[in-house]
Amino acid sequence: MSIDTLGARAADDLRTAVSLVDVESAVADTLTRRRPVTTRATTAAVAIAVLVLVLGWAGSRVLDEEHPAPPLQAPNEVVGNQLSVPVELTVPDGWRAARDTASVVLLPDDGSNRSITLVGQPVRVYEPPAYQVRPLREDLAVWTTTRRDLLVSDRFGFDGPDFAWTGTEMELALRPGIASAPLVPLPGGYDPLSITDADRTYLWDVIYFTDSPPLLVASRSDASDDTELKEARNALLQSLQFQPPPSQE
Amino acid sequence: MWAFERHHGVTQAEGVRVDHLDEPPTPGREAAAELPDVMSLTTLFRREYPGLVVVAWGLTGSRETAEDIAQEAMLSLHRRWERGDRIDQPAAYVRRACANLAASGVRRRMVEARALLRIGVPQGSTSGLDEGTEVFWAEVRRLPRRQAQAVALFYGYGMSVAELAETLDVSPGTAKTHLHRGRQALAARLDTTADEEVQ
Repeated sequence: MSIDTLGARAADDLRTAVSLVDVESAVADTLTRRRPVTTRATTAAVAIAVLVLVLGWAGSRVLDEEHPAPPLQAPNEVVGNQLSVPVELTVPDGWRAARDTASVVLLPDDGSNRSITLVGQPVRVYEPPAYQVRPLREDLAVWTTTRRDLLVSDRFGFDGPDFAWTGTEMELALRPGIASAPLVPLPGGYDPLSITDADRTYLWDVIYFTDSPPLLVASRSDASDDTELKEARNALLQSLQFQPPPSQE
Repeated sequence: MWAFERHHGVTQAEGVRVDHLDEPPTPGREAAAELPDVMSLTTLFRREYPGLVVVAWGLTGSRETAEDIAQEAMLSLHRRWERGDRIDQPAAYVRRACANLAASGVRRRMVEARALLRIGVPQGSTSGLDEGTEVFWAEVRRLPRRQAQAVALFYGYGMSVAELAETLDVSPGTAKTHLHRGRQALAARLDTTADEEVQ
């Protein structure tokens, strides 16, 4: 039996399970979920306000030196992700924040699969704005930090690795079974990391300078998309008018 | 050229088209019809819903998640329409949105958790699907993301390469490559054969 026969049968099996009743029910349900444009801004504002309140609560513990907030705790499946620096999140336009059981998730309004997760609980408040997120395309976002000693815990996709950045060192927290292989370290602070998980290779670009705010460009690609994603990444970096630090000119 | 470009060793691949799944329609293309009304949305949804659920179900492994994703894909289209965006190919748009949402693992976790709570399904419940179907889609989910999307859309809708390229908003060559590699990988893992390359 060929793969096409298997595939057609597998699709038919799923399609058969979707009844006409399911379709009509879904149509009705979807129509009731439509939100007028005028309410989206309110919804986003509420989400941001809730997020700020939550972060503010967490941050108030940091400001109280007598009762310091606990360090950021990683999910159980991540190894060695102890982080101790605070961060404040600024939700960018076109995104909304949602609270998962152990993380804060940014989801784009356009339904694309660009999602950004801040892993760990609680997230402590930092001086605003600690960093900004610029979503660019699927699986590609730019994190610009204003301070070097920031917590950035980012995850792209369910199977991606978790990592954390603290100061000048990157602590790579990986799930068991995932290997990491730093590529050639470059002078000037450009350090691409290649992380392999089964059949997928995740390519992370970490760019930092000694005397400048670090720039983290995180992207995920598999081998077949590598060329296209490299093109997008290069275009991104060029669009940022990336300049080497003064000491290297 | 800055130092990182030399050291990075990146070369420009000629003819490679970068995917921008959320780009607005290319200028010069025919303008879309007037803003669709609820009836148009309903008609489109009725026609597309089964296929959307199939694709999302195959890519996520969860029917409840797939149903939610199918609705979210339609809502995404509706929001674009409300904003006045021109969507030349609404069917291709929702199929692409569905494939993207399904590939987003974070969202999958969140939606599935809500769905499970909503319907009270205990952990470990079975889908009732044939074992061969379960195995097939499980292997699809192990594929690299783009290959998984291409395979799910190809079998879910019975698309041609041209239709797949339009849905994924990539060149036909890129669509063909994703599909070919996905089918080859599946055939190897499932110990079967891949028919002639799809045209």
